[in-house]
This record gives sequence, C-alpha cells and structure tokens, in this order.
Amino acid sequence: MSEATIDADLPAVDPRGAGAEEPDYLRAETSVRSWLLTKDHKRIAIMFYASVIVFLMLGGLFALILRTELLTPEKTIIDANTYNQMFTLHGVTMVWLFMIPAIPGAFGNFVLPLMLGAKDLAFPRINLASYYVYALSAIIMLTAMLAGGADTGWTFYVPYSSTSPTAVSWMGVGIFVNGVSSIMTALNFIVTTHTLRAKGLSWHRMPLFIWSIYGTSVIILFATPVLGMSLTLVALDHSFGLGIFDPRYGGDPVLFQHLFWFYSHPAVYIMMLPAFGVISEVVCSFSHNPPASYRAIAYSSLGIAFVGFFTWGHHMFVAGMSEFDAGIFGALSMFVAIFSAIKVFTWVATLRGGSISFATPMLYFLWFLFLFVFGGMTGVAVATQSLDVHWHDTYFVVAHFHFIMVGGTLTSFLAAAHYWFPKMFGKLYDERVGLLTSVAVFIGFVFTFLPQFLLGNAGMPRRYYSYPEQYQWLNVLSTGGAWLLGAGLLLTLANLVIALKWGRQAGPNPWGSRSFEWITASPPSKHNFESTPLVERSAYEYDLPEEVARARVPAR
Amino acid sequence: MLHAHVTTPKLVIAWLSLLFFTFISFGASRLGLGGWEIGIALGISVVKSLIVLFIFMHLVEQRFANRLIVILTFLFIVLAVSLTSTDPLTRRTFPPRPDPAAHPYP
Repeated sequence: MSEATIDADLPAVDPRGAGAEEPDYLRAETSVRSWLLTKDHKRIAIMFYASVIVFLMLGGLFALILRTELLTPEKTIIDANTYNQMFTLHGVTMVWLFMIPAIPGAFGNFVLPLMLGAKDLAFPRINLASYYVYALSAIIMLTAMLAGGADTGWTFYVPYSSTSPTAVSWMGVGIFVNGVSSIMTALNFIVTTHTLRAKGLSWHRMPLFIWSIYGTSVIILFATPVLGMSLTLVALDHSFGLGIFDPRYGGDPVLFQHLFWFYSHPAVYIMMLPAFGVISEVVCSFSHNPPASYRAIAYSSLGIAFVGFFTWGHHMFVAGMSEFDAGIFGALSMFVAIFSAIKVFTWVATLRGGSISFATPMLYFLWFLFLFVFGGMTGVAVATQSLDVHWHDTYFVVAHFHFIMVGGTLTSFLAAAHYWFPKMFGKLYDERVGLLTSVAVFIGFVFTFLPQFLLGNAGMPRRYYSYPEQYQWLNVLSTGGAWLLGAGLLLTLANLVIALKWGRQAGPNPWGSRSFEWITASPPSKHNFESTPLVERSAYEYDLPEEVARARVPAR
Repeated sequence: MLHAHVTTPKLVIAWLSLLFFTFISFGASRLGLGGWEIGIALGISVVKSLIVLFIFMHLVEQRFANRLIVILTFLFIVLAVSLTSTDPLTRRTFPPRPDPAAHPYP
C-alpha cells in the first residue's frame, strides 16, 4: 500500500495534539481546593513530584552533613549520636520517601494513563488516597525524627533495634504506612493496565515503560506486606518486649533479616524497574529507533521481578545464616545479572543505525549505563560469598548499592524529569544548562562513590564516625564529590523551575517520539482524551512518518 | 468463565471443615510429634486458608486470571517460608568443625 493510500484511509488529526481546544489540566481549575481534592492522575502526579523533590533535597542535605563530618577523622561538625541518627534518617528518607515513590508516583501516575489511551487510572480516589497516605507516612517519619530519630540504620537490625532507646517504633509505623501507599498505587497500576487499555492496544504494542511499571507493581504487591509485618513485629518487640526476635525468649535475630530482606532485596528492583522503563523510552525516542528486541526488554522486566525474590539471603552471608543457604542464595543472586545484561545489550543494540540526538535525557542514559553496569558488576562480586566476607559492612558495599540504587534511580529520574518536562508543563527547558548540569551530576557522583570502593577494599567499615588517618584523603575526595553532586542537582532544579516560567512553548511532541503519551497536547487537557483512542500501531514505529504515526492513533 | 455461586450448604460444609481442621490441629499439638509438628501445623493451616479463600472469599467463582494472583501469592509465601526454614535446619558447617572438647587427647 502506498503512503498516499495510507493517508487517504486515515482520519485527520489535530496537529496541536488531542484535546488542544480544551484548557489544560494545570489551568482547568486553579483553586487550592481543586488541587487538594483532585482525582486527576496528572495533578496527583505533580503532588508526588513536588514531594519527592523535597525529600530528595532533605535526604541530600543529611548526606552532605554526613560527608562533611567525615572530612576529618575526628569530630568536624556534629557529634557521634547525631551522626548515628542522621545516617538512619538519610537512609529512610532516600529509600522510602524518594527512591521508591519517585518514578512510579510522579511519572508513572502522569504518563501511564496517557500511554494506555485512558482518561485516568482505574481508581482515581484510591490514587488520591495513596498520595495522602504517603504524606501521612512522611509526617510520621518526620515526627519520629523530631522525637529523636532512630539510630539503627535503615535496616532496623535486631537485637539493637528492639532495645535502642530512640524512636524506632515510630519510624516502623511510618514505614508501615508508607507501604500501604505503595500497595494502593501498585494495585491501581495493575488494574489500569489490565482494564483501561485503548482499543487495539495489545500487550505487545504497549510502551516499555508500562511493562516496567507493571513488573514493579507486582513486586510491591508481593513484597511490601512482608516488610509491614516484620517492622510491626520489631515495633512490638521494642515497645512490649514480646521477644519474637530475641534469643532470650526463643526468638531468632536472623529470622528478622530473612523477613526484612525478603522485602528489601526485591525493593532494589522496585527502585530499578521503573528506571529501566524510563531508560527504554529515552533510548528509543532519542535514537529514533524501535527497541532492538521489544520482547527481550519487556520479558526481562518480569524476569527480574521474579528472580529478585530468590536472592535476599546474600545480605546475610556473615549474619549466622547456614552455609548451605548462603551457597544457594549466592548462586541464585547471579541470575539477576542475566536479565540485567539482556536489558543493557538490547539498549545498546537499539542505538545501532539510529538517528541519535544528544539531548539531556540521552546524556543521562549514558550516565545510567555506566553506573548501572559498574554497580551491577560489583553486585555480582558481592554476591560471591568469599568476596563478600571481606567486603561485608565496609564502604565497598556502600559504594556498590549507591552506584546501583542511587545512580540508577537518580539518573533515570533526571532523564524522566527532562524527557517528560514538555509533556507535563508544556515548556522547554534550556538544553545547554541541562547538558552542563548533567555532566556536573555525573562527575560529582563518580567522585563521591568511586573512592568509597577503595575505602571499603582497604577495610574502612561503613557507618563509623571516626577512622584512621590513612583513610582521610579518600574521604576528602568523596566529600568534595558529594558537594559537586549537590550543586549539580540544585542547578538542575533551578533550570527546570526557570523553564516553568520562562521556557519556550513546547509542541505536542518536541522529541519526535512515537510513544502514545505524545499524541495529546502539551500539557494535556483535564480528561486526556475526549474519546478512547483506537490504536493501530505499536509504540515504536519509527519507520512511519510522524503524521501517519499520529493518524494511526486517532484521538480527540 | 464464571462458576456457580457459593450456596448456603457449601458455606456450612466449609465451616464444619474449618472446625474439624481446628480440632485436628489441636490434637496434633498434643501428640508430641517433635520436628513434624511445624510441618503438620503449616499443612493444616494451608488447607484452612484455601477453604477460606475459595469458599468464604468466593474465589471459586472467579476467572482463572483472578485466581492466578492468589496462586502466585501462595507460591511466594511457600518460597519465603521454605528458604527461610532451610536456614535453621542446616546451620552446621561443611565439613563439621573439630570439637576439641569431644576428643581432648588425640
């Protein structure tokens, strides 16, 4: 069929994007009440977005104080008790208030219904409730911080956490409530993906971001209740001395670690799978190429979600777990690398023959690739029992999980923040500043954590307040990197905030992407689509001219 | 495909089964079966959970796609419990550490 025939068969579409004649979701209603009681997934996404940025800054501030304290071997700015509480708060804030909700809460909420051709999520009220439950959890955790915080580390290991005089129970309650919010969001995403896909949008036509959010939601649904249960038991032990994990009463401290890591290792994938989804979208959009293998990326997300549940014991090699279990967990842990490698090779293969544009999100993809591969390979190393015994509880482990979790989540969060910025706000950010701040973030990150691999290998334990003088120069390097990273992040935020006010108007599809969220106007109207789109192509048909691709998803 | 509704006689039978299994659990706990106790107790609670899920929570009426999530949840619980249980059951070193107290004079 010739192109002229295709054009003749396809309906005319508004070049300004679907719903361009209506006021956009930001201006449809402007009262405070209309925001606070909104059931619009896009506004709830913005509320999540603002909150996770606040918590990123708060967690980052804690990190900067910690790094500054470690500039010198003895006291620099804070005392030892404050230091202990601050690294717990840093961990709790970053894990539960930033990394876990960041991409699903802000970008998943915003683009998932748009990508599916839906007017909203399946349960809009539950969506709003999930935000308020998240906010409530943050309030409880902040109250716990004001009530003296907790000094157990974010892992709450017993027996210390069941006897610590600090506000462990409060913190546990905060995390429990946070888990409820995660479960509500996950359930909403799963049901929406099953029931609200547009006509013609089969599972294998969906954008890859949906697959990753779907995989994440499944993990959240299976793992989070276990965390809630374990922290409730710790809180009961702490408040009432039940002795569930206390050997004096027949309890088993290692049992806590089994339960905690049954959640918290899959939680790494709760943070990473959405990041994979963002990266898949960015790679295809900025190389103007379909994924080298759609199924490889989609199914490896589910593979990681599944295998991620078999690996938790590698956190416990030196905890007193049996050698038999340790061997099994060490071997099983390495399976995750297979699925991760499938993803990495497929992303790289996607670039082949593409028309690559080096915009800011693409630069973040490169940083992501470096940090993820580097962090992932050190992950295989720490899953090796004999090596882990040497590195356990040293800065090597700190560097490893920051490379993977923080590097992966942060670079993809920033990639998403730039990639979907025109869709969310209808404006374009300053590209040159975006590229510059991206480089600052990357260099800052590498200088912060690369020295920590060396520190750990040389034997510096994690969490220690003071250290021998021979470790100082690496600590100084790491602290300098942290300040550069902080400055890079602040400048990134400034660039985006300035663009909100003074940025150039973005068209409906400034990147020339074929993914379905770009069919709507930028920013989208309140109800996204007047009528359900009819999808007649996959999300990555870059061989079609843009007008033809748009007409194959006719939407008003 | 939707299945027949849960009827009152089925609910009564399910309730009687739950009572029966409760007595069995109690009886088994009095027999002093040693290491078997946990396995038997877990087995009985699995059967009771299935009765509650399928009859009282009407899962028997649902499509397979909806039942799948419950089946998967069950498998994940089995995974957590079995791998965690192998830990205390195999907490010994390979090969066994020499015990000087047992053979003080080689």
